[in-house]
Amino acid sequence: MIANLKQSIGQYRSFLDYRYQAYKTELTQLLLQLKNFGLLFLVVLGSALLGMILLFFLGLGKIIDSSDAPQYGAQMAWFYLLLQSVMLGAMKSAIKNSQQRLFQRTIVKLNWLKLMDIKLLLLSNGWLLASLVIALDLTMSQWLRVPHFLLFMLLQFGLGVLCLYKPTALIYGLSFTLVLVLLPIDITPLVYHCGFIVLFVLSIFLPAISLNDRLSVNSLFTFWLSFFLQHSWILVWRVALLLCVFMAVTTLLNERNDLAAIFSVLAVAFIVLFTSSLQFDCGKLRDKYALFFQLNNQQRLFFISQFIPSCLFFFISMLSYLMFVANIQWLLLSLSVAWCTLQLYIAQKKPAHYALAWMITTGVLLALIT
Amino acid sequence: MIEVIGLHKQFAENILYSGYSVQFCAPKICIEAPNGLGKTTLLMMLAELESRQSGQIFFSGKALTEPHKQVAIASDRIALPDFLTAKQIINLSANTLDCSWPTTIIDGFNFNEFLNTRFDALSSGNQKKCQLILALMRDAPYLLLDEPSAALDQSSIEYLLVLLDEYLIDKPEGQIIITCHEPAPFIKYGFECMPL
Repeated sequence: MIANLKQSIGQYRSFLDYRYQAYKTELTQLLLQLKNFGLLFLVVLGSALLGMILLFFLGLGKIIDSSDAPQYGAQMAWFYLLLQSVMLGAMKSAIKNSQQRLFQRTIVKLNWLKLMDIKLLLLSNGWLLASLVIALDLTMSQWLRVPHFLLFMLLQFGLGVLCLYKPTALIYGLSFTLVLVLLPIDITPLVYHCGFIVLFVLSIFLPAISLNDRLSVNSLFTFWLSFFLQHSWILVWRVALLLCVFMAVTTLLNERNDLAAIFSVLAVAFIVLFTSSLQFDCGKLRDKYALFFQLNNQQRLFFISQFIPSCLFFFISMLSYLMFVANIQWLLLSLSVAWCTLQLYIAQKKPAHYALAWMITTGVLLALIT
Repeated sequence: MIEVIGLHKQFAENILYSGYSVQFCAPKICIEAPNGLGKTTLLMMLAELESRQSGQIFFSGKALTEPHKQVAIASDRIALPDFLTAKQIINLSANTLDCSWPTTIIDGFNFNEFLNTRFDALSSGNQKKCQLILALMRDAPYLLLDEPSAALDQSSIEYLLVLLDEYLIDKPEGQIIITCHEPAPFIKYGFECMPL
């Protein structure tokens, strides 16, 4: 019996080592994919890292202390859950070691596999870890005032699990809860969070609907539509980051309206970055299926069509910014169109210079304004 | 007749064809050669889907004017949209090329039950069937098939052989060129074996 136990522990440790190794390897590859943005992250985000961490904890503070403005707190909580889902979505393959999933099933029991998934999920979920840090610092009397924070942490954990095993429920749940936080109702933070839990639990039981199966693909338009329906992830993370930018600009404009011109340039810069970088995905698809469309005598149309998603995304983002956030001067608006076109061209012709071109243009525009 | 004159093709430093000339005279030809000698590349160049450094290719004495109408090709080298279902891929091609829906060919390959399966979820045999359906439905005079029997089940190979046997009936100047490592069944159906 003891020998069996020792053998099991040994096997578990070997499996643990393997999963950690696979996790590290895949995360490294994920970071390598960002090499085009490496310099950009280092210069722009690196210097703003402390500010971002502070903003992150400030947001958590708003979620905890939301008794005065429950709807704003609930919206912030929803936004945090969305960003967490986006981050975990990117790391999902590394967490589950998806590529070798079948191999893993051949070497260990299913419950070991899930146990390791959850361990790596907890390790990866920086959002939940940050909440835990704050939770440990709360006294009993504070806890009694903010019981909804416990539910928020439960949601953070639960949504991580949904992200791994039931992504459809996650999408349904985020859509339903978005409606809840936008409804003009007066309820306490605790009721908001209970509502979140109920909606996410209900989402688990909803059947998955595949829009793509019902789509009749008979043209380039429906081809691209089908691609984005099935690879919605590449749009979701961009939209989530754009929402971040929009929220940040709204907050900053409330605080320092005198710096509106600088905030406008920064907002335009990030809109151009997140929309024009879609060309990397579209370009890859174009390269992969160029021969198929050449065979169908549509090579020219297919080549042109690869730029349309990025352009459409840019115009929709700009329009959303103008409608919901702030106005932009005509000159900057015109420049942004040219800038987006330039970034698209560089993404297509010289992808290695994409980040550099973006940084230089941002710098020049900021210098011109100040 | 397909005629290749002075073909030169190289990938980086690797010369695949240098001054290669050949005439494919028989209506049905099976090219046989070991792996890596450039059979697929040759078919791709014949279909004008792969560029060449130099050389000329003539179809019945003329260069191709409308390759998509004159040549149909099935090859693993041509990636099909793997996020679409087989039905969506066939529909997209049929609409673009103004072909009718290939009911008979789909029935013949017993492919109906896989039409709503995403291409990347199809078995290799069914992926091959999808490639063949796309090529055969075009009804082009020149048909190029790269390893058409690879991964196919026996009944599908037999159906393919019958189809190919009748393919050129209404195409007096047409030609079928295939590459194959097991040419025996094709030779039985009138294919002429040719080394590369």
